[in-house]
Formats: sequence, structure tokens, C-alpha cells
Amino acid sequence: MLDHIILGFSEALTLANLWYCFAGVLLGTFVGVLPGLGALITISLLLPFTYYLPVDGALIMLAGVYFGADFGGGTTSILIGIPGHPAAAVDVLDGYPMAKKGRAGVALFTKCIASAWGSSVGILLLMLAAPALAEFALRFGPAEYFMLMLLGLVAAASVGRGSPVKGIAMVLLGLLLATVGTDVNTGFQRFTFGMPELSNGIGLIPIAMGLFALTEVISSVGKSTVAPVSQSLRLRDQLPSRAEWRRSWPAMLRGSGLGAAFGALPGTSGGMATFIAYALEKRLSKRPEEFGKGAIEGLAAPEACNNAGVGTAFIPSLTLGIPGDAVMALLLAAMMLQGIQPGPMVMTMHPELFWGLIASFWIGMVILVALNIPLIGLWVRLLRIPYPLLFPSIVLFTCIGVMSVGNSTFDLWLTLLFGVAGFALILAGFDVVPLILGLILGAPLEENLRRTLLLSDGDFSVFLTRPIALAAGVLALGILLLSLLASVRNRRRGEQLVES
Amino acid sequence: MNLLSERNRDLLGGLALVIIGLGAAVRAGTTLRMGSLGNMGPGFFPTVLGVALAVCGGIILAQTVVRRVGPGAIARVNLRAILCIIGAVAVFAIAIRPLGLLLTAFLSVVVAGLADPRTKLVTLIILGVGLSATSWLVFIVALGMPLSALPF
Repeated sequence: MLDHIILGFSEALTLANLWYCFAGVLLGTFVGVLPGLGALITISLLLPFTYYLPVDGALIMLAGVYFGADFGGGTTSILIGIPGHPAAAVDVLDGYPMAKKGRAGVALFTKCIASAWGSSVGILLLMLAAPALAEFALRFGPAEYFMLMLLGLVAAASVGRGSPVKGIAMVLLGLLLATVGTDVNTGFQRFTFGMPELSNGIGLIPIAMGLFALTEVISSVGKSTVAPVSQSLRLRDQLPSRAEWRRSWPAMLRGSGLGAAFGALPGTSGGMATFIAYALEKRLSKRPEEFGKGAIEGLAAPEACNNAGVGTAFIPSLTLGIPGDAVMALLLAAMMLQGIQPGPMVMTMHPELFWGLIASFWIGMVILVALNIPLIGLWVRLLRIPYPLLFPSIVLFTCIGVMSVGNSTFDLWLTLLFGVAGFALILAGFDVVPLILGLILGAPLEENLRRTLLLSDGDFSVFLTRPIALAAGVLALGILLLSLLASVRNRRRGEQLVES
Repeated sequence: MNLLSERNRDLLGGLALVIIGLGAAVRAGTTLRMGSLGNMGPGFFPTVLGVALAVCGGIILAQTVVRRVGPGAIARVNLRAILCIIGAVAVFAIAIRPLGLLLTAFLSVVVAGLADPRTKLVTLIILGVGLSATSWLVFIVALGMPLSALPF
């Protein structure tokens, strides 16, 4: 372990990687603070340019953006009552009332400490669990991989927004899009319609840029900027009182535990776990009536939960190559663009990459605390940047980014198509995140299914006789049935409301 | 106009999924070899996916018939925003080869900016010039991207 940590820090502390780490968390905080920009859209925009960077630098920077946006997002929730980042939505509930009561500084400080604590728990668990899991995963055959990927996809489809049927439909659409191009086993052209540009498949970049960047811009044009709560934010104003501190630290502990557990499961992104953490605090509190009016526990627990989840979300992505949310999918895509196949081999073949990434998380966290506590005043000023000036820049960088990958205008038209399609999907009540997961996992899912059945000569019972594959399959089926049941029950309740 | 009541959006969405799913299944099933379970051909996986997608679409369609939902409209479509953003990307795609990055970036930023009616044209022109110069510096000078800056 120790030599791994030394290896990691010697990798992360090179001048170039320190710079990528700093640039990543700075940019992440920047976009996290700005309403309408989050980690997902920023990582989509940066993805094409990571071609021009070394692979370790690229991953360190993208991961820095992810962490930074989570730190920065809460600032906006607290000061203007609008989440700067989807996962920070729950911070509005008690953070904003605290700010209105004149405790903005304390709220920001608590948020930052809770985030740092949560991140530390998450990263520590990642360091402990990932090597063991990766070693274990080396023994997995195609049947295990197929079932684990299926589990990831089912979980992402059922736990996300909207009905589980719609989530499954999006996963299937993503899988179908992944089949476009030349079939690797036979060389046949699938769904290329005679277009040579499609023979290598639809690139991930046009789809991600279209679905995340363009769709986001189309749906948020016309938003106005809201002035932040203005209060003195010197360091002295940020320190919580002893009573506040006593109330917040147990909440942080519980929140981080919950977040760490949920983060490792696929499909729990978008802050679902943070709302559970909030509800838990409210139930345990002796003063539940204060929640929603500025209870410090209601801010500390979800923040710790969210950041603990960021750390543990890396576990399935880095050890199995199975991403749990869209950001993880894009990080794996960045690896694939550089020719590294995600999976358990990454840790043995590129230990400097894995441990360097982890060391950069620690370094990034120290930078983030420095950026967010003494320099908070600077970020508050950013909240005044008007959105009408921001979105033309996003559109321009989307276009340039897409061009930079293949220098082809065909990709631009594809991006446009997916931007419009994504907007239509959101209007129709679909969530595009499961689609991206399906797209990323499409090729390995098909490959592992074909290999499994080739080895078993078409006999499906291999999925029942191999214990890990069976367990993953049963779990997937359970999640699917539970979420279908829950959605039917919710609908019944809705119908009763309509009738009465 | 109640085009986007919850029922209509599910009707349209479900129908689209059925069409895409069946289309994919028919295309893959008729033009590609299916193979057997023990030795799958290139058509097997896409056909199964297409059928499954059509089934999901069918369930969503069926739910609109069974369910009683309120008729309320759920979303407002900002047509101006959609057209301007589409326009900006289209302008970029058409203009980048003949005009080079500097002019294209400027045009594209101005068209995108028109999506918000509150932005003044002067502001947009300044923003366009600024972003066009920045992107030239960052992407062509610093990163060395293979794009030409000026018309040729």
C-alpha cells in the first residue's frame, strides 16, 4: 500500500500534473458556481481536447472538474437559492434560509468542511476497496461481466428520473446506437446506410456534446441572473459557533456513510442519495421543525453524502470498467480515446495512472479547501456573470471541440441531430443519462454475451451456474421489479388524487 | 394549444420508440446474418434490442390509454432558442471550411446569441469578436489544431 501511495504522489506531484489538477479544480469550481453549467456539460466540452494531453494529465484534470463542481455547486445554492449544479439541489433547502438569516458565511464554511470530510471518506474507501476488487475481478469471465454490466444498466435505468420503462427504453436506445458501424467479429456493416463516415460507429463525442451541451443550452436560454445574498464573508464571519459545530459534525458522519454506500452503486447520481441523507437527518433530529428554515444539519449531511459518493463512484468505474453515472462514463471515454481499455487490468498495467489519479484527488481537495474558504469572495462575484453571454460561448466551444476530434463537418451535423433529439427526449419525459451508459457499455456487453454463449454452445444455464453472474442477475431483476412496483404504486396514488 | 399534455407527449414518445425499434429490428433482421445462440451473427444483438425497444414503446403507449392523467400542458417550447442554437451550429458546419475559424466563430456566436431577445446586438458583436480572437489563440496558436484561421 505504502509504495503505491508513494508511486501515486510521485506521479501527481510532477509540475505538469499539478498544473492539470489545479486547472481542473479551478475550472470545476468556476462551472459549479455558475448556474446552468455543471460537471457533465464541462467534461463533455473538454473531452475532445483531452486528445492533446497525456492520458494521466487528462484524467486528473477531468476528475478535478468533477470534484470542483461538487464543491462549487453548493455555493450557488446557498447564496442565490438556485443549485449551481444538479447534485447541490438539496443545499437550497437549508443553506439558502441560513444565508437569508445572516449566516451565509457559516453555511459556506460548513458546506466546505462537510464536502472535504465526505471526499476524504470516499477517497479512502476507494483506496482500500479498489485494489482488492480489481484483483478479484481478474478472475471474472465473460458471463460475470455480462451480468455485472446488465446490473449496472438496469440500476441506472430504474433509479433515475422518470418511470423505469422510460429508463430501460433509453438504455436500449443507447445500446442500439452502439451497434452502428462495423461489427468487430465479422466485419459486417451495421446501420451505416452506405455512409462511410459511419463505418467506425457514431463517435461518443458528437453524442455527448449534442445530448449534454446543446440540449442544456436549448433548454436554459432565457434564464435570468439572480443577485446573490450580499454579506461580509471574511474568515471570522465563516466560523460556526460551538453549538452549530456540535450539531453539524454527527450529521457529517452519517451523511458520509450513506453517500459512500450509495456512491458505489450505479445509477444513484443526480443527488438522490443526498435527499435520503436529508430525510434521515430530519427524522433523527430533536428539532425537525427547523428543517427548511436553516437547520445546519440539513446542509452538512447532504454535502458530506454527496462528496463521499463522488469518491466511491470511482470504484466500479476504475476496477470493472462499469460506469455508475454519466460523468464516470465520460471519464472512461477519455481513457478509451487514449487507447486504454477500462477494466481490472488498468490497475496492474498502469498502476501509475490509478495511484496518480488518487494522489491527485488528495491534492485537489487541499486546493479546493484553499479556493473555497479564504477566496470565497471571488467566486461570489462570478455569480453576476450574465447567462446570455455564457451560452454563445458554450455553443462555439461545442463546435470547435467536435471539429478538433476528426476534423469532419459530418460529426458537427451529428452533434446537431443529437442536440435536437436530446431536447425532444427531455420534453417527452426521458432522461438521457441511461442512454449514454448504454452507449458506452454497448460494445463490451454484446462482446461478452457472444463470448459467453460461444463457450457454452448456446446454453443459457451458464448464467445460473456461475455464482457471481447469478447473484448479479438476481440483483438486477430485484431492482427492476422493485422500481416497477414503486412506480405503479405512485401512479395509483396520483390517480386517486386526480379523482378526488 | 395542448400539444404537450402528459398524455400526448407519451403518445408521441412511445410511438417514436416503436417505430425506431421495429425499424432497427427489421433492418438488422433482413440485411444481416442472425446466426445461432452459440454462434451469433452480426444481426442477432441489434434485432433483439430493436424488438425490446419496440416493446418498451408499446408499454408507454398502452399506459396512455389505461392511465387517467390531467390534461395540463407540461412544457413551453422556446422556438426562438431552438432555431438560433440549431442555426449557430449549422452556420459553423457550413462556414468553417470556406471561411476559416475567425469569421465562422464570429458568425456562429452572433447567431447563437440571438436566442435570447434581451441581448443587444452591440454586446453580441463585441462578444463575437472577443470569442473569435480567444478561440484562434487557444485552439490554433496554442493547441495547434488543424483548422485554417482565414478564408483561402
